[in-house]
Amino acid sequence: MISFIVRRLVGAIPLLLFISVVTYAMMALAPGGPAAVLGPRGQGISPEAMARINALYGLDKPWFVQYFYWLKQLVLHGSLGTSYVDNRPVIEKVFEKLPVTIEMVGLALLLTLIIALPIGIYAGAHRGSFFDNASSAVGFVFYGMPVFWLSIVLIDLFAVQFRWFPSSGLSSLGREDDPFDRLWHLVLPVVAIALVSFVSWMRYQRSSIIEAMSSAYIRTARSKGLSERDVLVRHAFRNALLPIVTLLGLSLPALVGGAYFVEYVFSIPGVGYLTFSSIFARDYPTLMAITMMTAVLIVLGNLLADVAYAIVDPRIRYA
Amino acid sequence: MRGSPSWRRLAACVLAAGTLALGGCAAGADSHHDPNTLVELVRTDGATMNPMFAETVEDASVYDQLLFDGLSYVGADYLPHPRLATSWSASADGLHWTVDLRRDVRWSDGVPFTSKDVVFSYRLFLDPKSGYLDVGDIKYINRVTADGPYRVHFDLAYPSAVFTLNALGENLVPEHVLGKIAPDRQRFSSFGEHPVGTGPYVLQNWQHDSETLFVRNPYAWRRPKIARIDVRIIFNDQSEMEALANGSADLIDDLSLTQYLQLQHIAPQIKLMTFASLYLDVVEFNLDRPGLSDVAVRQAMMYGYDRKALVDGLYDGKVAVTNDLIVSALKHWYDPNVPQYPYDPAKARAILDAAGWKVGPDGIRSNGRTRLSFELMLNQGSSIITDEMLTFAEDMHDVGIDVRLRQLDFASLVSRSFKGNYDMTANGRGGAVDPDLTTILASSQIPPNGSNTTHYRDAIVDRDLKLGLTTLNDAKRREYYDQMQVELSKTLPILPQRGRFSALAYASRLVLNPKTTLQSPLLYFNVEDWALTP
Amino acid sequence: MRSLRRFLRERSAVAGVGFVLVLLLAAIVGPFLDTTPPNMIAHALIGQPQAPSGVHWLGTDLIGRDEFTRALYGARVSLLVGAAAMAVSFTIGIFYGAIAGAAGGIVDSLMMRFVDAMLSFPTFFLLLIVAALTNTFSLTIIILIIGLTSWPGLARLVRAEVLSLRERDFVEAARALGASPARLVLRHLIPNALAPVVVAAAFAIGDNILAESSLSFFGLGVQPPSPSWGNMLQDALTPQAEAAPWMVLVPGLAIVATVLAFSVIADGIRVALDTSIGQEGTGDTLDVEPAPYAAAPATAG
Repeated sequence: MISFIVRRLVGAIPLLLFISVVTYAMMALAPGGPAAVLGPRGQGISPEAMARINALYGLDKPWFVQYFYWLKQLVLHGSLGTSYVDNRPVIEKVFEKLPVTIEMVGLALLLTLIIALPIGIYAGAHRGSFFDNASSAVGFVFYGMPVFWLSIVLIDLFAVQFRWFPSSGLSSLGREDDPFDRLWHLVLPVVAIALVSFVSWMRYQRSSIIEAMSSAYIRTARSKGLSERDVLVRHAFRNALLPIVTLLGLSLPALVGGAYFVEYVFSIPGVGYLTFSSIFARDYPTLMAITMMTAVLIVLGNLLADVAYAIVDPRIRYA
Repeated sequence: MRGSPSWRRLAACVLAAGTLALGGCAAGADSHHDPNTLVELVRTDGATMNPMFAETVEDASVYDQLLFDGLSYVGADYLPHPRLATSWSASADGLHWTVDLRRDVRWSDGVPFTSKDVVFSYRLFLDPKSGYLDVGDIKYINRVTADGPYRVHFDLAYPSAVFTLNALGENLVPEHVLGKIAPDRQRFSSFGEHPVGTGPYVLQNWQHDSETLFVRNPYAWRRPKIARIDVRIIFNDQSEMEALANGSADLIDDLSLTQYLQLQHIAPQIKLMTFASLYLDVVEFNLDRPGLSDVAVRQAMMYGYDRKALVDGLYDGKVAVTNDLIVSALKHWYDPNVPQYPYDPAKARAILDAAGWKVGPDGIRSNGRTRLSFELMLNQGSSIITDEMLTFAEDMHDVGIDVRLRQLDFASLVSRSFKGNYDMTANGRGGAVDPDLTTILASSQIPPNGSNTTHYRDAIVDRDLKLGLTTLNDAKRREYYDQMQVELSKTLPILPQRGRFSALAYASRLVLNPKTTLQSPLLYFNVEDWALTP
Repeated sequence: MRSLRRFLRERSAVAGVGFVLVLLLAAIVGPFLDTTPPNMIAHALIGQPQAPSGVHWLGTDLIGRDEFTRALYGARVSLLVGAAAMAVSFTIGIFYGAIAGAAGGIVDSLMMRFVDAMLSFPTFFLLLIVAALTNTFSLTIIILIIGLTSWPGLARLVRAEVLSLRERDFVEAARALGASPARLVLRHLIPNALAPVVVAAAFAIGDNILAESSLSFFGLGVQPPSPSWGNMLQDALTPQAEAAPWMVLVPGLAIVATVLAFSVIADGIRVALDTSIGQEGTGDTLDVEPAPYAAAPATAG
């Protein structure tokens, strides 16, 4: 197992390098650089100023030279550089926004599991029942909603019409340190994310319960005279949790990648929002940092999922 | 749900429910009402407090005006007045200026302000390695020298009528703080997070994208009445209005039209002020493109575009159709007598017919070589502008011109404009208080030399721009700019649509004099005179 | 076939097929029957969206355009983009995944690394760049963009199926008979891996419709004035939309209904195909579920 993990990690390095090169190349291809969006009047700056900015950041050099400097900075100095927008260290900018996104996506994940698991288990145990069909149908309805649309509808309904929740942002004026105020602001975005995504989890759970309940060793347990409930709890459960564990690992990148459409509509200053504004501002260092972070998390997430898979299912062994 | 509301609040809620869902109902939000703190709401945060690199609207309009001073400032009459300077004078040929400085000014760390700071600032700004953004305003300064601690001399490459307004208006930076840093490292210094200026306020605390707190500068020579200014970032129009309505905030300086319309229904504790905007929205042409190079086509577009219907429909009549590139807010320079272009599609068709553009079987005109079919690029993200441009495209179709829309992000727009890779683009212009339009209209400024992205070449306008810029006599300047406006109106490199909407809203406890209040971005020029009634 | 009968027994799936057929019909024929031009701006109605009425069945938008007609034209876009992008991503994904799974070893490893790389890019950024780079922005470009960003997930799926199938009896038999690798892939692996793929295909159409609507909402998809359900939602964030809920609901519900229809169809196919490939057990073990089969089903956007 250990050697498997080590091999995967080592093998991830060329992958990450590849991602970094291609990302940088793509960004450099995009028309207009960071200088194009500067200017206090939003109308751009003079060509002289633009030329100066480009020279300052080395943007007048070919993209692979720029990329090389970025890589050198990362490998030799462990630094992700400074943002083109405000010259602050990129690390600082990202870590400022990270807790917000992690909190929001984390809560959404939690809510998703709370909704999806019990429903999935019950539906799987009572396959073909009305509940089973209805829960899938409801799940699909929400799945079919574009998340930005659902967000707008939730805002129009619960924030504007009923005024039960705030329509945007993370905190009310003067209440930035109040955790309850924060939670109150996060209710709608978290619900939006959970609603559109719970159906996948629910159905994975359902199908794995079904499979577990019908597999050979369950039949053995049944034939031994164990009650249906015992069968479910003692044997089906362990296996049934498998896909969930896998999916959790695969969801790791979402904690950073963030739900940017939701952050955009609800004006929540998280990593997704930062990604958006960095794209529009052509802030290459910040974008590279976020991309690489997401890539690292995908690698780690995949690895975690595979490892957890092996732990939970004793039949799987990695050479 | 927050705690249960008091009955009085509930009754107020019921009343307010009859209006546009505003009112003091935002559950639980109380008035952040320190009598000495002005709470202001903005929609985006600034990027840096270093005035050399002011990049966003917030940087330049709010933060820098609170923290820094220039030698001159723009007053309520839109003219330059001395600020850190006490007086200035020019030589007869306009090439040499002498500026006398105030003697009672200190930086926020107590160090006295002297001519050393002025010389250092301008030399740094002019240094190509510093990456100073506003270099366009000062590049004709050849030399800056000190003459004793309270006098500075400027030598110019050519006389400029906007020298006192633009060049002397640059925010100055302290030599004793930034002098140790090499020019190419200026952009990376911590000055952007820890600024030191001569302005009425200093930065106390900055939580990015959340809140910025300014307090009175202990050494301020312009001592403000209000002790603290708290700038909050609220991304969303609705939340901004709610905060203002329930008393948690005191000022929104850049009100959108819909906010304005909704706030009008609020009880008199909210005051509103509208201005003739300094900005206008336009459609720009790439004059090198076949079809667009024909002035008849452009004039036909003006006649064929029903701007009034849009202004009435989408803007409730609260902005004005304009035919000038010089906005009506600049009373000193605005000429209402330029040729108007009332909506007249029949006339548009006649002009096109006369110029040889015949309607083809698909309804689009062509002169045999060129078909009048163009792509109009615009910024994605504003649905109102998109709807306006859609209506424009419809109007154009009615007179036989095909206009296709293309939404792009801002950086791509700017890039394509400068590369000349476009037909037409929706754009915003204005913002300056001086009528000089050299950078966008002079033929010498065609990219890569300048920002004349329409590639306009007109001898009369070139001449008027040159004379207008280098003549120091206002009356003569007025003549040149009047001629220029007439010529611009005839040749139409840019199609003016309408002014923007400009308004601010504030709580009644904030005392603002309508006669001496300027619109954003110039609002804070007299912030030291503002007061909060208890 | 037995599968067909099983499919027909799933009522929701049949309803889904019915809906899609009606939508298809409406999309194809509708624009000929409905004579209102979808892009015609009613100058008198600018700024005053009209509620649904006898004249405008689903109301008008902010510049007086008829919502019903636009929704009809938007259906064309959605169905076309949904299906075509699916075709693109599936063609690439199936072959890529099958080859990787069949080859195994280093080749498989490398190929899957590349897939991982593709899945790590922030998709929206990719889309923005491509949108900005292309000079003429057509439906083809949009289809290609969506198709080219969604094939990796499918490749993974196919590869997993192929891997599990590789060990099965009939493959052994074919190999024993001396079948060449190409023959193996084409004649044996792909057809048998196809069951989950078909299910994924139906889900994919729904996903692509969602992707196109998101792109268009941000102005980087179908360009105005051409209607698309996504760009019809651009006005949804304006304050006028609060007083005119049909502007938000008409395009939104159209998307929901269509994606729902494809989802239940996919589910029905899943149930139908499951037992007919002779899997042991009581079915419902076809592990294909709705998710943009990318790394994180919990990512909403």
